[in-house]
Amino acid sequence: MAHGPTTASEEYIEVAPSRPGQEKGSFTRIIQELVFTVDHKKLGLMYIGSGLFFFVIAGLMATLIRIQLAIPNNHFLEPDVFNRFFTMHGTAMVFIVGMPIIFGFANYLVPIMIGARDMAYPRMNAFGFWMFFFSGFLLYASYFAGPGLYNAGSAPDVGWFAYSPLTSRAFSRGHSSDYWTLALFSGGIGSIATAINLIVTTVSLRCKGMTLGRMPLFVWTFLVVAFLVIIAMPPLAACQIMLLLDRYLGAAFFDTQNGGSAILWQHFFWIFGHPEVYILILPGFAIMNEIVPVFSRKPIFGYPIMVAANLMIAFISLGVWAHHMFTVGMSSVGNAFFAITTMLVAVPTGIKIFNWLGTMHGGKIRMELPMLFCIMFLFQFLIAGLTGIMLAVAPFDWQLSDSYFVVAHFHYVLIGGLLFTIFAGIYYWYPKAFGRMLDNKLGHLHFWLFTIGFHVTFFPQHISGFLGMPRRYYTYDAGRGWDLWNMISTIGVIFQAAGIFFFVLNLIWSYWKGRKAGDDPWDAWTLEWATTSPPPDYNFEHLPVVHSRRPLWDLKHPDDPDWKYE
Amino acid sequence: MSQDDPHAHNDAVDLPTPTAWPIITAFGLTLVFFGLVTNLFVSLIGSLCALVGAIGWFTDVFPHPKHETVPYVPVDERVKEICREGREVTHLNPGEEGHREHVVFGAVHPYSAGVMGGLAGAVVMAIVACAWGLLAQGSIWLPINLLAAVGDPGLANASMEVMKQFSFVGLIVAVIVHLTTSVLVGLLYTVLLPMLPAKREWIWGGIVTPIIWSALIWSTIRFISPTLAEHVNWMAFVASQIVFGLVCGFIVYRSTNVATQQTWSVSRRLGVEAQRPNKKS
Amino acid sequence: MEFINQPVPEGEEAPWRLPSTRKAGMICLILTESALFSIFVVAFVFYMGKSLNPPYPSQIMEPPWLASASLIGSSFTIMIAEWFLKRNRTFGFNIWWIITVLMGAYFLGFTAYEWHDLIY
Ligand SMILES: [Cu+2]
Repeated sequence: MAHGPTTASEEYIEVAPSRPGQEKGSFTRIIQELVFTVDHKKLGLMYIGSGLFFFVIAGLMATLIRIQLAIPNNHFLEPDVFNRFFTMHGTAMVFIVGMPIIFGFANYLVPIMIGARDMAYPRMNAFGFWMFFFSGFLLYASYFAGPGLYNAGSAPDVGWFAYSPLTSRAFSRGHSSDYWTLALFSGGIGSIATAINLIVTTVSLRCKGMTLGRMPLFVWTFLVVAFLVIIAMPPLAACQIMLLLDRYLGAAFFDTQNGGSAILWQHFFWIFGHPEVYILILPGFAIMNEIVPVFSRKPIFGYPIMVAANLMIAFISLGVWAHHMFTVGMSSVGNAFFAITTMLVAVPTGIKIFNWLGTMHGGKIRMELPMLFCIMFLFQFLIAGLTGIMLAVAPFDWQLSDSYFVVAHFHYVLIGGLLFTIFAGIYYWYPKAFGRMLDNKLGHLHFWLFTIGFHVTFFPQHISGFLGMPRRYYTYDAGRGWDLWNMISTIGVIFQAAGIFFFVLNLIWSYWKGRKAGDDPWDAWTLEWATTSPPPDYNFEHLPVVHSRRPLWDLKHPDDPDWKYE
Repeated sequence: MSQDDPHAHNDAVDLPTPTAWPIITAFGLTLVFFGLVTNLFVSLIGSLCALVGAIGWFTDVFPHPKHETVPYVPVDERVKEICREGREVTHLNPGEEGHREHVVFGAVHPYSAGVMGGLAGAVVMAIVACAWGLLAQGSIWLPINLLAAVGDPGLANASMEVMKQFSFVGLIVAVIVHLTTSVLVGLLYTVLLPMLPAKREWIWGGIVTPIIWSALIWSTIRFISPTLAEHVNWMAFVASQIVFGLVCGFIVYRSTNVATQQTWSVSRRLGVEAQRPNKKS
Repeated sequence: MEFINQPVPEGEEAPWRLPSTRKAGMICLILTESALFSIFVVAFVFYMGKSLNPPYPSQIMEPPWLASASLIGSSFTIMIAEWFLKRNRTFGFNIWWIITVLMGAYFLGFTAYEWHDLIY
């Protein structure tokens, strides 16, 4: 915490005012607290809450897309509405669902896990959140503002990576593309602020004894994520600025009709875009790293190599971007380079999967809900990784690029990988944040419905992709072999939606009616369980002192502490 | 209270004062962007708003970040004592009965033996291949250029006459391809040989593996290098592979074994420990 | 929780020091900025000499000597201001700080003028 001379200088210590007229718990008081707060826990929950809100909206768009594609020659949606939906679905899921939810987890947990009272820059933390929050509304405002309403909305329709020349003035009239550009740009400012904050907090605010080698792997992984954010988000901001110059001031960076280069946009976008994929999936690994050991009753297997694998993934991910561009016709040397680096990613990722298996091996596994989601993650992420390696083979990619095979691949990564661990994390830490357990029955309904729905929806897309169905098509003719697979895909959505319904119901119901959790319901070992549920504003009365990677283990087993073995 | 915790008093702690300046700044900035898609007037209002927010924020942190003192929650709402009763840890010892069978490897060959074996195999293999070129085709350069065609598109499309000429690039490419492949296969041998059955590792390493390997190449070479597939003499190819396998296998086989973590039991490497069921709960 | 009274391994009594938040924050900010500007530089290099038709850059642009000097100079004046601040000499800080702000404002203003000039 950046502070001047301490304790003595009375003039700047104000006692927290009672704020008259506002009883604790009244509606105005709650709103006031949320608007004014600089507390990392409240901000973390606000991140996750608003992320889930946008998730439901973007999910409804996906549902409408699937209904449109259920049968051939369907006209349930208008073509231009369809284009806006897939653009907004992708953009929202990446930038105002995935990013805020992972930042929410980081915000809530990183300071507690390292035994600190708050982030390094609490006000900047609030600023980062509000930048993201408003950017979400800026993005959706495209439906109403500008020439909207009477014009039935003017949301962006250029796809979530907005390839040039689709975004040039000639092909994208009005302001729809500008909404996309500006929303991502302003959200990016918030992400960068939060990432810097995370790094500084981790580097400078660890409690006594928390050396880098004893930091929970969750914190380690988020340190790497934050570094990736500050290296990968600025290039996105830079291309957004150039795109704005193109569109507002008549520059021609990406305007092919005036000597600009469309390929340059692709390079710049994917220099950001690929690390972004790892920014989204590494937090999934972070959650795995916490939950798998606790529910296997064993310390994580291969701690140092897990840290090394994180660093390797981050490093390699900066040099693979053009595997999204095999079909633009790079030189064969370029193709070979990017194919090989992409395959290299499989090495650290494989290490991680084996280490989780090694952690479970011989453990006393408890099949609670968080663990169920984690085990499904292992299975689904393996499929995602294998299809990823297939797509890394340039000639294979030539056949399947921009097909539903790719769609299936990245939904296995982002849903089967990231979303499942987010669910696991919510089941695991909800008791900490609200003091009550999530309901087990509703949780199992959610788990089974969503898992079944997910596979029924996305597995057939591998097949329709193999059969040549391109992504983003508005509709298709009957008799090309795609009908059945699309129908199955759409049916799966029903199960997913039902699963999400029970999940949201559970979140709300358990808040009031859930079983009381107590301080440490899972008998876990990291510092967030060393305080009450929910933690007080200041997290700890006395800052903890740690001597090993599992400080609570040491406290629970004073005659057999971990530091004897590390 | 302690020296490490300058923010804590006896029963209270300093926390940053809640403030609305960050949200005002963020709102102003967003309005600036919103103005770009609606009306520049909105941007103007937004920038004013952001400026006010930034100045307010500055007064919050300058010269010292504002704090307020928050009292601790009442004692009965604080964190409970940790329950230590009924907790016993049992460490699984190496070789313990009834848990899982531990397959203990013997020792393994050192990697250096693989590298040496690969290099030695590479030399004899090159001799056999060049001998075939000289005796059967009348040019020592042909096998070298054929190999180089894997990595050099110019050679891949060349005629038979050109292939029999000396090519400097061809020589370099062929040497690189040949050496790296040989060393990698040598390393593979160090790992594979201890896993192969029976005492006569050399039969496996020297003959069976090269034949399987040749079969693999025979079935896939037309995708990797059509030129090589067209001109290669399979008898000579298999012969050179077997020579490689024998020499490399022999050197690896002769190397002294080194002990590794592999010889430890799984439980010792994993540090397995288990908790006895908690009798109290 | 009883973090204080737990058994402690040998040699853990060393004082606990961590890097300052200010330094760590500044390094991160500089990293961010360099990532941002490296993309602009790449774009600049990519388009060097690729103008399709005249006027070419060398014909209409001059190196902005004064603006560059004030931009680079401002990083020194802010250091002087910081020196005063560390010694709690607010007056000196204010002077140098305002000089820095003015130099920065001049640079921004000149850039805006330059752009305006180029476009219209
Ligand atoms: Cu990628």
